[in-house]
Amino acid sequence: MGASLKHVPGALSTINFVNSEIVLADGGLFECRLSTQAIDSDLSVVIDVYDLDNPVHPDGHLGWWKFPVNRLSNFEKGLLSIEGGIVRCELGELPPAHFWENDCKVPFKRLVINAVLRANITNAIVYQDKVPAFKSRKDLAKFRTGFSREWSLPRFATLTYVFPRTSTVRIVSRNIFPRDAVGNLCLDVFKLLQQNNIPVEIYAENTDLALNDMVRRVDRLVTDIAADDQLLYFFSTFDPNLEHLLSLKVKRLIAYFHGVTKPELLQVFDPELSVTCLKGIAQMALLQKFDLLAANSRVSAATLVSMFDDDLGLCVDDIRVIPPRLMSAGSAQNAPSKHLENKTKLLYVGRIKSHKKIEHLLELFGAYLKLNADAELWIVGGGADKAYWNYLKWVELMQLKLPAGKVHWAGSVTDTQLAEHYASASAYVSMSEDEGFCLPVFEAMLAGTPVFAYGLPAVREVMQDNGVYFLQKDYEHLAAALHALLHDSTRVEEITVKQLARAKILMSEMNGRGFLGLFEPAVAARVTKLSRTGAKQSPAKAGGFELRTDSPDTHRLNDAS
Amino acid sequence: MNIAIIIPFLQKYGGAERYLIECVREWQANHEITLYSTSYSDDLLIEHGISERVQRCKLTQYFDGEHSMLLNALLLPKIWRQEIGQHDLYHTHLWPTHLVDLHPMVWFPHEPLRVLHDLRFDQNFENTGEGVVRNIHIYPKYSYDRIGNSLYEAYLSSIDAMDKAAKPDRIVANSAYSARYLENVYGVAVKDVVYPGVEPEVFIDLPIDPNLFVTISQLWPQKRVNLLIEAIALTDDTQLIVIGSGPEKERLLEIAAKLGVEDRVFFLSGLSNRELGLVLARACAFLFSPVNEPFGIVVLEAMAAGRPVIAVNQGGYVEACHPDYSFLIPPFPSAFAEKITYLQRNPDIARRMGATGQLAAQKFTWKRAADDLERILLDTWHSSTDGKPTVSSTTDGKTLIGIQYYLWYGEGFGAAHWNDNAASGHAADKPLLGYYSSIKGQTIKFHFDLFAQMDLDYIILNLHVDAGGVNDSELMGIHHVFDIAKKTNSKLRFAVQLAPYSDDAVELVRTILMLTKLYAEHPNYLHLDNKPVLFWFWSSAYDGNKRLISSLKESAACFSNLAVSLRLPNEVDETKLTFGFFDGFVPFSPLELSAENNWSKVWATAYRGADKAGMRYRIAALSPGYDDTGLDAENRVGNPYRSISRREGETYQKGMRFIEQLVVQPHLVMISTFNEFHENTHIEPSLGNGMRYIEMTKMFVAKIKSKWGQA
Repeated sequence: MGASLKHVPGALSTINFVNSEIVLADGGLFECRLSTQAIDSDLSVVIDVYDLDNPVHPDGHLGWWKFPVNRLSNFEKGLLSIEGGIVRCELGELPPAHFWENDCKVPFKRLVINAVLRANITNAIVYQDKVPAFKSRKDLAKFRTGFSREWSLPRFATLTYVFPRTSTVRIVSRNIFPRDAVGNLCLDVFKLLQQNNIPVEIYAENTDLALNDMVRRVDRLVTDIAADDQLLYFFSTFDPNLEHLLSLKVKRLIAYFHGVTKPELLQVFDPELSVTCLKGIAQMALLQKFDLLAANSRVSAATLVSMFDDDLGLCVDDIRVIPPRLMSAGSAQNAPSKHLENKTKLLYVGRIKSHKKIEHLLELFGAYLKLNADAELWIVGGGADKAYWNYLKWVELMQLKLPAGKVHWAGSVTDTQLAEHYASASAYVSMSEDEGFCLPVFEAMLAGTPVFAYGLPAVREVMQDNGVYFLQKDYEHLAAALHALLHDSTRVEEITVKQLARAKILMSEMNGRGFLGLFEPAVAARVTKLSRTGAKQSPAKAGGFELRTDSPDTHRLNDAS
Repeated sequence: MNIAIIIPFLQKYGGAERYLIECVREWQANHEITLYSTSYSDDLLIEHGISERVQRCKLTQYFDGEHSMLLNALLLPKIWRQEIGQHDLYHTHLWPTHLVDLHPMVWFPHEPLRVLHDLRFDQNFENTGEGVVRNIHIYPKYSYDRIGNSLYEAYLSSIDAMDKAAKPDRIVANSAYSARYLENVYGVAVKDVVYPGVEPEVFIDLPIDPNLFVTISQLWPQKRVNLLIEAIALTDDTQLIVIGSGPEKERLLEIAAKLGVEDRVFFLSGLSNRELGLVLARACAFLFSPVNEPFGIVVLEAMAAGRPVIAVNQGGYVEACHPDYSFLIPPFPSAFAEKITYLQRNPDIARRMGATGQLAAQKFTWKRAADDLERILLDTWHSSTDGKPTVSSTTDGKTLIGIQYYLWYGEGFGAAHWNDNAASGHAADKPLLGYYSSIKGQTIKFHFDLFAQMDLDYIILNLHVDAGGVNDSELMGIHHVFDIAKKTNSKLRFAVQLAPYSDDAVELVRTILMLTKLYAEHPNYLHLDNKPVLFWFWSSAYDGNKRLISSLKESAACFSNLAVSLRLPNEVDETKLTFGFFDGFVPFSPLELSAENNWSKVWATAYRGADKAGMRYRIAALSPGYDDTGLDAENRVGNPYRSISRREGETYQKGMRFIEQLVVQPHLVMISTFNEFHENTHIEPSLGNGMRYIEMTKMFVAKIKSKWGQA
C-alpha cells in the first residue's frame, strides 16, 4: 500500500518519511512523521531494509526493526548505520521491540528503506512509505541523474492561448515509472507544460525512487490543490484514490484513458496485476464523472463508453482521442534509413508480459524456421516477470527446441539501438492479445518495417488497412503467409509506403497539441453537459471525417485539426 | 454387456465426471453403453474421445424453487427410474442416482450425501432477520439451497430415511477412507476400492518459486480454504494461488483482506490445462485442507506435476501420500505455516520431494482404474449383498470436573467475536485451529477430542439472552453439540449456562421451557442426583428482583440451578438476594475477586459460602489468568484486577493447589474457561500458549480424580 489519498495525514494511520533520501556518509539520519491516528492505534512501525537492486527475501533483505507506535511520537528521528557491512536501524529513543538482521552479509550499492505500519494482531500492512538510501552523496547524484530533468528538448507544440495566472495543472496517475507507456506519457506531458510555462505538478501513489524528489506523493494533493487548478488524470488500472480525486474542488477534472489489460491474460503469471486490472475495469464507470475525457484510441474510447450509464447519452465522439505519445516534428527525420540485413529478421518490441503472448510468437517463429532456416527472431523489451521469462525459455528450448542463436532476447535498449532494430528488421510481428494503442506497431510503420500482427481492434485502428493482420493463430498457415509476404518485394514496398503515410498522420497528432487543447478555457463545459445539450457530434461525421459504423475497430482516428 | 450409466450432470471435466469419462473411453469398445444424465456436453464427450456409439439420453431436470432440495432428493430419482430403459447392469455415479433402485446396480457414490452425515453441522448460516437460514450445497448445483432452520432437520430426516431404503448390489469407493465412511452410513460392506488416475498433458519443467503455493479447490465451506489463507498470513513473503471458483469466493476474499493478505492470496479460474500446468509447475508446494475429502484427484495432479503436498491428515488422498513427498498435518493454520516456511526455506528439498511424488503418481493410471471397475461391473452382473447399523448411551456421579465453553465465534478474522469490535470482541491470542466457527462440526469435534484428552466430565455451554431474545448462533451451536455428542456416543455431559442480559422474564421463561423440552432428558445432559443442571451466569444485576427470580424459579423447577457469579455468595442473607433459587454458587472469575495475596482466603470463603447459605452443592473454580485490557467497554474500566498474569502457568497452578488441598470434597470443579479469548482465560491450544494449559489440566484432572478415588 503506498501513499494513497484516503490516508490524508491526520485522518487515518500513516507514516511518511520527511526526507526524500538517506545518505549513510552524512550519518544516516532520517525523520518520520506519524499521523495522530496512527499513534492512537494498535500498530507497530517496521523499518524494513532491502537492497534497492535486489529487493527480495532473503537474498536482498538486510533486516527489519519493529517499534510499537505507543512508544513513538508524531515526529521521530531515526538513524541508519552500517558497521562491517551489517546495517542497523534506530527510531526514537527506545530500542526495537523485535528485529531480524540477515545472518548473511548482503552486498549492496544502495538501499530502499520501507517504513511500514503493521497491525499488531494480524501483522497486516496498514500503510507504507519508502525512500532510497545511499552510501555517499556521489551515489545519490548519480541515482538522480538517471532520469533527465532537461525539460526544453525535444520541443513539442506551443500554446495558442493564454493560460490563467492563478491556475496549476496537476498531473495524477497511480503509477509513474519511466520506461513505462503511462509513466512516459505523464512525464512528457509534464515536459510539454513546463516548455509552455504552465504551472504544473505531478503526483503518483507509486513511482520510481529516482523520481521521488520530483513526483509528489498523491496524498499531498489534498493540501496542494486550489479551486482554479485543472487536474489531468491518467487511468490505466485500479486506483484506490479515484473516488477521492472526484471529490476535489477544482476548475476542471480531466481523465485520459489508456485502456485496462484483460485480467484473464495476466492471471497465471501476474495474479496481483490481474486482480488490479479486474478492479480497474469495475472502476471505469467512475470516469463518467470527469468534466472532460480523452483516450488513446477510438477503440479504448468505445470500451470506456460501454461502461457508462446509458442515460448519460455519452458516445465515443464525446471522448477526445489523443495518441499516447509525444513527439517533436523532427523525430522522423532523425530515424536511421532502412537497411535490411541478408538474413530475415523478425522483430518484436514491447514488454515481456503474458498478454503479449510471446510464446505464440515463438511458436510462429518455430513454424517459420521450417520455411526459412536462416531467419532470426529479435525480441526487444524488458519488464519480464521471472516466471513468464522462465516459461518462455522453456517453450523456446524444451518444447519447440529452437536452434541456439536463433532467438535473440535483446532486453531493454537505448532509443538509438531501438531505431537500428526497426531499420534492420524484415518485419515487425505481434501476437499480442491486448492493446489500447500499440506504440511499437506505430514505430515500425514509421521506420518502414512491414507489420504482421494479430488483428486486435486497437492494432487495426493504428494500422488502418496498412500492413497485414490476422485473426486466427494457425502457426503453419501464418508462417507460410509471412514467408510469402517477405518474398514479394513489390508487396512489401507497397505496404511500407502506405504504412509510412499513415504513421505520419498519427505523428502529426503527437506533438502535444491535443493535450494542450484539454486545458483550453473554451472547452470548460463538462462532456456530460455537451451530450445533454445536443452538442455531441453525429457518430457518422465526427471530427470532419467520414466514419464507418459497422464496427468500432475500423474507425479512423479523429484528426485533432 | 449392455450397461446403463447414470450420472446427474455431465457438463464439465470435474472429479466424478472425469472418472466416468476416462472409464467409458476404455470400455466403449467392449460394451454397449447408454449414458443417462440431466445435462451433458457433446463437445466434452467428443474432446475426451467418447464415440457416437455410446448413446446419450437426457433425464428430467432438477427442480428449482420451494422445497426443491427435498424434491430433487426424493422425487427426481423416482422420475428418472421411469425414464431409464432395460439394461443388463445399472452403473450409477454420485448421489442420489442409487435411488433409481434398478438392479443389478453398481453404485460409485464418490461420497455419501455429506450434509446428512459429517457435514451436517458444517453449513454456513445467515440470520435474515426473519430467522436463521442455512446455505446447503448439494451436487450438481453450483449455488446454495437456502433452508430455513425449522425445515432443515425435517428435510434431512426425510432424505436420510429414503437414502437408506435403496440397496445397490455393490458399492464401490474411491478410497479406503470412503469405503469405511460408506460402510458406516449404509451398514453394508464396501470391499471394492478403485482409486482414480492421473495423466498430465505435458510436464512443464520450470524453476520453482519458493514463495509460491497453490491449491485447487471449488470454493465451498468444507474445502476449508480459509485455513490456508490464515496459514499464509502466518508466513512471510509467501503467495497463495487458489484455483477454483464457488459461492464462498467473496467471503474468502474478505477473510484475506481482513488478515491483510489480499495482495498475497489470488483466486484464478477458467484456466486451460496448460495454464493449470504452468501454475503447478512454478509452485513450491501444493496445499490441501478440505474436511474429509473422499479422494481428492487434485492431489494426484499435483504429485504428477512434481509438487510436494502439504495437506490435512484426513480423507482419501492420504492413502496416496507418503512422507517422502508429502506432509500430512492436523488442520491448523500454524501447522500449515510451519511446513510452508520449511519448504520455502528449503526449495531443494521441495524439488526432491516433488520428484519422488511424481514417480509415485505414475502408478495411478486411468487405464488401471477403468480395468478394475470393469471387473467389478462384470462380477456384479449376477450378485448382490446387504448390512445394518448401531447406537447406545450412559450417566455418572461423584466429583465432576468441567469447563466453561463458548459457542459464540464466527468464522474468520473480523467475524463475530474474532476482533469484530473493540468493546467486547478483541482477541489478542489466536487458537491453533485458526479463527474457527464455533458452530461447525469440525470445530466441535476437535474440542470434544480435547475435552476427552483432559478427561473432563462436563461442559458448560453458554447461551446469552438479551432484550432481543436468545442468541441464535449460540443456540445453533448447542444443538450441534448435543447432536454430535449423541451421534458419537460421547461420554461427556453438557449443561447450558444461561446468561441473562435483560430482565425480560417472558423471554427467559420461554428459553427455559425450550431447553427443558429439547435437552433436559437428553442422554448427554448433565444430571446431578437425577436432576438436570442449569447454570446461570449471575452478574448480581438482578439480585433482589423477586418478581423475575420467582418466574425463573418456577419455570426452572425441574433443574438444579447453579449460579456462576461475579460476586461471592452471601453467607447470611443470600435468600434476600436470590430467594432460594440457587442450589450452588461459584465465582465465574476467581482471579478477579481480590489481590493475589488474598486469593486463598477469598476462594475458601466462596467455597464455604454456598454451603453456609444453605445450598446443596459445593463448587470450586479455577482460572489460568485474566486480562481484558484489550476491551474498551466502559463497564470494564476501573476494575483493579483486570490484568492477572498467567506467569507461564504458575497462576493456574495456584488454583489447582487450592482445590487439591480442599478438605471437604466438592461436587463440582469448574475451570473458567476453555475458550474465552477476550478475557484471556482460555486454555484452548493457541499460538500464544501452545498446548501448555491442556497438558496442565490433564495432569490436574488425573491427580484429583486419583486423590478422590475416581481414577
